[in-house]
Amino acid sequence: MKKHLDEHGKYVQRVQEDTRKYIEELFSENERLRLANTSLELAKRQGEQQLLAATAELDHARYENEKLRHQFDDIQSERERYYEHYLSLEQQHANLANLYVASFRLHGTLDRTELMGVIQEIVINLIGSEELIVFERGSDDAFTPAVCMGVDEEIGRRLASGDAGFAGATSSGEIWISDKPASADGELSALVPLRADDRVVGMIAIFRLLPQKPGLEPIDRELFDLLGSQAGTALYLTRLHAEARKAAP
Amino acid sequence: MRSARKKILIVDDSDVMLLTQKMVLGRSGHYEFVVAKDGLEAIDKAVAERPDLILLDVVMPRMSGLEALEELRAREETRETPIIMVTTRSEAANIERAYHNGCNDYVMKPVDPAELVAKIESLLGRTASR
Repeated sequence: MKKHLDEHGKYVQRVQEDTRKYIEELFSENERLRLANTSLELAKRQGEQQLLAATAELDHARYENEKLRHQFDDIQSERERYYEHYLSLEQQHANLANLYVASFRLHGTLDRTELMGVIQEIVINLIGSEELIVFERGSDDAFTPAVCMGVDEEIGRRLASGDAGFAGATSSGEIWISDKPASADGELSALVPLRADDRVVGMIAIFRLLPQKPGLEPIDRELFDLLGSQAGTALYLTRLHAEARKAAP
Repeated sequence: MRSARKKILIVDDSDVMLLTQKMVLGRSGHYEFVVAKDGLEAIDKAVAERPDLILLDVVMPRMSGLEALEELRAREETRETPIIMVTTRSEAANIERAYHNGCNDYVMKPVDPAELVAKIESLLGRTASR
């Protein structure tokens, strides 16, 4: 019995010792974990602060990026506006060049044949038609074809003798432009009265445009105005010049 | 000493075209010009002046632009010179013949100045100097 009690006592002591060691180990582990937790908490706080700082920096960078993108868009829009303006100026320069050259050439000769050639060149190269008739008003007030290109002279004679539009243009002196592109043979695109001192001394009838020219443009209207006034005056002057030469001894 | 500007030979029997092309292309200050009024004169001037580019009309007296093009391509001095045909003739057969004879490009009359300048710059480069 005593032996049994001794053994039980030793067992209890062993259990107590093991329990004590276990509890010590638990306390150590607990302390270790507590320190680790504290360290982690510290790291977490530091991480959170860094994250906040990085987020703030990212937000700022995004804001700056957005600002720069808007500035870029503004500059791009402005660039496109300047480029359109530049193209417009270049087109205006080209139009002015056409008008200047047409005027220069029209007043560069007193020879009727050469003048007719210049009118043809202007219509072909600047307006874009190879179908035209230039009429001259005679002393009998009748309009007869002086130059025919690309159309039958008979069409010109029919126009001058019976076409209401032609008669209207000769009496009013106003340019007439068709509201639709001429497509058939002998169909008119425009009538340009040639005027000298408010009197219609001739007419340019323009028929079909070149295939690559879809229609008449504002610059063509300006060229018609120029032809109407300056070709008319030039035509009148060539006549006077011819008469003067004839009359000269 | 060769000028820094590129030399363009303009060939057209129309004084109106010669003057307008010189005015429009001369605006940039990048080009100087030589003119010829028909195909025969074009060949003589091309050989004598050695232009950097030729603008060549098609319908001309004495020798047409297409015939002049063929002759220019046959000659050593002008075989590689860039040539742009400038014409009213929009028919496919004419365009094909021009390319077959050796032109580099083709513009229709009435000429769009922006298109012509773009084609010249494409062939010569945007800078004025060689």
